[in-house]
Amino acid sequence: MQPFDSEAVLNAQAGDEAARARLLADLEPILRRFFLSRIGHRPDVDDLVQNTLVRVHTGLEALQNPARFKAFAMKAAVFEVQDFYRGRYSGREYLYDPDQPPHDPAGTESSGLRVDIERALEVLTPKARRIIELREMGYPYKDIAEMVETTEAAVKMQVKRAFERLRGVLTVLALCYVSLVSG
Amino acid sequence: MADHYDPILFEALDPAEQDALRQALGDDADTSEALALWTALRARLGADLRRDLPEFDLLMLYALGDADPAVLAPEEEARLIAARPSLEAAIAAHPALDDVIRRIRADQQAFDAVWEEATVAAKPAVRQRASDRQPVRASGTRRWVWRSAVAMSVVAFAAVLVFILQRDAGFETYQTASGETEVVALADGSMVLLAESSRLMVDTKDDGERRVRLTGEALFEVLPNGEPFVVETATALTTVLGTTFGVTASEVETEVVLASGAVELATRLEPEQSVRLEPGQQSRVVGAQAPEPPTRTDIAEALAWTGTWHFQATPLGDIADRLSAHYDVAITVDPSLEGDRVTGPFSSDRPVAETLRALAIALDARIDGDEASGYRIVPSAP
Repeated sequence: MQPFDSEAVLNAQAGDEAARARLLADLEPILRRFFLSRIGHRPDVDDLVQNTLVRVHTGLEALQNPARFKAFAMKAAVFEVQDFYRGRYSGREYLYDPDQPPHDPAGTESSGLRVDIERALEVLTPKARRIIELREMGYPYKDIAEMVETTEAAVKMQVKRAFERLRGVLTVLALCYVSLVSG
Repeated sequence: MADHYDPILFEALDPAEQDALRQALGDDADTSEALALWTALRARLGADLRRDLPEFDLLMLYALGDADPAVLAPEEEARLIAARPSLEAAIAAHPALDDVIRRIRADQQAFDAVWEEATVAAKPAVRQRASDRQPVRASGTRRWVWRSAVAMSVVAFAAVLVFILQRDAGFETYQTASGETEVVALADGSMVLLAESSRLMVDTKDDGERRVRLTGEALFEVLPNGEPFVVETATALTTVLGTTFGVTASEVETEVVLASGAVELATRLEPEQSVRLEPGQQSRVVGAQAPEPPTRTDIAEALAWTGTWHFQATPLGDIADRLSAHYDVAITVDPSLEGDRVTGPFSSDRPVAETLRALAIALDARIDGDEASGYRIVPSAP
């Protein structure tokens, strides 16, 4: 019987605790190598391996076709590493859950900024928008740099340029306001 | 260009520290106002993303399933069928999602590589490059009378080789033998499924251009990244921005069938003579003639060799007929469901019951019967 063949998976699904422990033990080094290859030698690898094993353990009963165990384990590992990229393992990396609406204590959207935002969206370059969207999904700037095939410094430069453009927008809007009032 | 507001832009502080810094910036009204607008702008972009892509895991299933439909469970496949139109609209509206899809596929490929390394002691010859093959050695008998002729042949061969090497410099070559297919993962995240007896040359020059040369047959899944993707064949140039399509190319003819997205097909000699294909259409370039006007075709049939059916707004009745013939089992559809249309890739090597279950969940139907008596797809509510 091979480590991940249908019989091994079926035994684990059928409540054979030894078979289940063996299955997870065989999977553990594969997961470790995978996470090491994706994020390097970091302490988070242990957590990623552990959490993926928990995903596999809890979802195993729902696996309809035991011959698809590899795809099942792959999805668990890829979902976990995507969670990692998106800052789920680091409380400091993001300001709020990327999948939840942000807390807006200042009520900026309701305090007369809507027009400014529309104007700001118009002047945002496609590249800057792409970077900000990736950041809004939770990816840190280092990973965004890899995803858009550039350096972290170049990504941050794009962000700063976008911010400077915004300041320009505000200046123009202020001048328009002055012109309207005085005209 | 370091500024005092960098910690806010790059979130180097926790929210409480950011609030403190914002207060400190109170004296600088212009910067404070700009930062408030910046925060609102980011919030707006994030809200737009969440509106267009309310479930991130669907994007992951889309990325994984389009690369290999067999990895999806029937329930996941059904969710994708239902969500595909809105997902594709979100991807078109937010180019950042293509970056995420590429990343997910890179993760998937990395996992496959690690798994294969760990579980396959002797790797089967799934992939065979011309350069990997062992040369066939001639008999050890040596006769000097042959040497001058051999030497001349070597010189001539070397000249041809130099020509070929110069022409093909900067290309990586993938070659399949008879009965062999190969999945080629390109650096930009796009995938190519190379059919048997086919050759693909991938431009590896780092000049931003995406270009491949094909002889034979292949299915391309191209991820958009702002740069055109060009498939060169003996007679035609096929230019795409992000799509799934099949190409069959010989020395005299190139045929393109389009599963999703859009492609432009042109003759090599006169690229301005081009036609634009829509999903479900095919066209041909024969010799130096202009491309034939696009016509509707059976995409699932044309790309059946890939092991995946690419359904494009295909009526359920037609899908049932195809499944019935493929699995050699009776499948009937309630008349009220026959016209329901399905779009998406389906693996043809998974059990018939799984495919039917995915279709049933997606269409709010149920499956009656079994393999022995035949299946019937009926509405879930009587």
